Amino acid sequence: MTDKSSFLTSKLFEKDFISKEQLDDFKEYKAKNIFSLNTELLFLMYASVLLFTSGIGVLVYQNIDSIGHIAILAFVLLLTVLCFYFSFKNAPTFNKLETKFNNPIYDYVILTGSILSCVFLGYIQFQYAVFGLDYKWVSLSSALICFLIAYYFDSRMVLSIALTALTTFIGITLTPQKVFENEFMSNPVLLFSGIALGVLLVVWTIYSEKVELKKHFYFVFYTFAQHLIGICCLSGLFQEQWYLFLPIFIGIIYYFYKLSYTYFATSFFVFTLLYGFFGLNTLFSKVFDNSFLFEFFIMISPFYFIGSIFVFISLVKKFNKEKHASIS
Amino acid sequence: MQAYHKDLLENEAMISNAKSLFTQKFISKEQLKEVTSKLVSLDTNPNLLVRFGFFLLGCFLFSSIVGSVSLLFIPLLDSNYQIVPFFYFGVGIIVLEILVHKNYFKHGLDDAFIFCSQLALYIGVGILFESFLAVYLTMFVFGALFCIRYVNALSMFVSCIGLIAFIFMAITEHSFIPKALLPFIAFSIAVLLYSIYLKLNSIDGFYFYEFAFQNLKIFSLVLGYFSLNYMVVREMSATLLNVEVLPGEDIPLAFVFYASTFIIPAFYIVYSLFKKDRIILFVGILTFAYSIFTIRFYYQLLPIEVALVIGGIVLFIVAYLSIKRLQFCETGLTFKPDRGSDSSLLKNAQALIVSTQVPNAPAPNQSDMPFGGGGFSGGGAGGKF
Repeated sequence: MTDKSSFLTSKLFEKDFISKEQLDDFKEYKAKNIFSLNTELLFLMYASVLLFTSGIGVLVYQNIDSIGHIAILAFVLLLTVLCFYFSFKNAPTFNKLETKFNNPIYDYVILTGSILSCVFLGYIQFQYAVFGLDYKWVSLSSALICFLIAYYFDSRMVLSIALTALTTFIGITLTPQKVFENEFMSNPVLLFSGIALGVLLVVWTIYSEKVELKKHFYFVFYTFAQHLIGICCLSGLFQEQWYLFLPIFIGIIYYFYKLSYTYFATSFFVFTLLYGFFGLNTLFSKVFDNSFLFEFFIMISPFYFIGSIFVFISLVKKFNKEKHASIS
Repeated sequence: MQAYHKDLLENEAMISNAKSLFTQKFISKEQLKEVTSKLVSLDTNPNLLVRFGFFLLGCFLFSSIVGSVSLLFIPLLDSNYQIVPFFYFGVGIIVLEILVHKNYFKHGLDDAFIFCSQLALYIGVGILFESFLAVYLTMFVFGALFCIRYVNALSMFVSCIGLIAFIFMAITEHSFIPKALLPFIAFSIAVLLYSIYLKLNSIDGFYFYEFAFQNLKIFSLVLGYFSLNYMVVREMSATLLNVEVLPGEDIPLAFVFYASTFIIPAFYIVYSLFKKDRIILFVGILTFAYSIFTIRFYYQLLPIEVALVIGGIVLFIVAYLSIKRLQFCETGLTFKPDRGSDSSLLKNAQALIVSTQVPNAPAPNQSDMPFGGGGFSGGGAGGKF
């Protein structure tokens, strides 16, 4: 068969949707037979950095008393310094707007440097207890260092590490594994500090927007904030003091619903709906649990789901319509 | 046979093509608008996240229907429990036909009912015949039927899995053919499936089955690799043929399987670059990673952390050299981003993945780590953990 996109494009031409020049333009491009490995190679690079640093992360703790150990540490330190040296040398001058390395490889050099410095910080604490006995100060200092690096070199990956470190600092391990393993917290104080951190991130993002400081970081910030607050609130709704979480939950659902329209970001939109829907169901189950009407509710549940499907379909239609209208 | 009108499917394909032409900046926004407004099309959700959301909702709806029907008919169910799953299958099909009639296509809701009603059917067959062979055969037949009628790509996987599981079962349980030939039979099936893919894909009128064919291709490639993978063959021969591998010995024809474990991924990668086929490239890279895992599983030449470090360095060098080599190519293989591709997408994705990977705190959960000496065990672990 002729290539599918060529086939369909000539069909579009037959139906007079596109002009002859555009068809020729397309054919000319196709004839170049371009096969871009950009994404694939960058991802390989990314995987190599993650493999390497996780190996190093284990190695520094091994054979702590031996000579080889010190050699490894010296090597890690040297490598970190080298990473930063080359990155500084090749970095574009700091700018509040989005900047890029001329060569995308440096993004990964920076990533390596940042992870290695976190590893090194952790090790120093482990061996010499610089910050006393409390590990959370390591997380905080890793977060600060990573924030500086992320803002200076404009690296979203390092920013993401900084944010994870920050959530670790307040005592939450926010990784998908933990959430799925159901190891999530049931400590209201922890939940509230999670929510507070999430709100702080939102406020910071709004502020950055105002002063135009790395505005494009909004996606990472908001994604973290949305899931941090969303998960904390959902866990909160299962607590005895669920009514404390309800106003925050409603507020955040409303906020992110509005936000998804500002950026036309489908992921914010979908997760807002999902969190809202699960929250609503949790509330329903709270009200109807152990009620004598329980069987009745099972009976009418299909209508509830059909109703919610209709609501969702109309919400998605509305969102898509406005999103497509806004494409420039 | 198809549930959807052919013109609508064709319009749908044309619209999605026009969208990609727009992102690649071949056509203007006005033209895209003209295409989408003039062509009558199906109700789809191109965004996977939205589609998945509706899939979840559809599954909830199906299970709530099952729940309320069960409550209503509890007295009848006791004696006729074998019929129940078929009844649910019927309900699923009716709802599915209504959805299709309303032109839902790749919407999420239709996917949910395709999935759930098939599941009900297979459970029903399993209960009725009490035989896996019957279930696999039904999977093969009905997977294909669903794939054809509802133009559903995932059902192609179901059908393929049914086919291969049926043959596997027939050979291992009923011994139609000597079990020792299993790897080669599986490999020839993979080759057969791939040639069927080539044949189907070359027919012009079938282009809206593109994704189903793609799944057929992926399945045949993966099957081809695993049928001759050393680890699979060795573990299978241990369970099926009771071959015990003593230290210093190996399975029969071991060198063939060692070779194929590495030759097949290498072949996939080279072939994909030659054919400019991204899917085969991904399969090639993933199967190659599995080959390394296979060898490490039997021969632990290096401790895992050293292997990680060395693997990282090697991978870095490979990626670096490839980037250097392809940086300035204008045609064919190139490192230049695709026309209209969104680099922000990759950056965001990598940023979000990295947070799941990085041991940014000094990993108190690695307490099972083999430390060198004693005497500092209290130094690290804070009371919190």
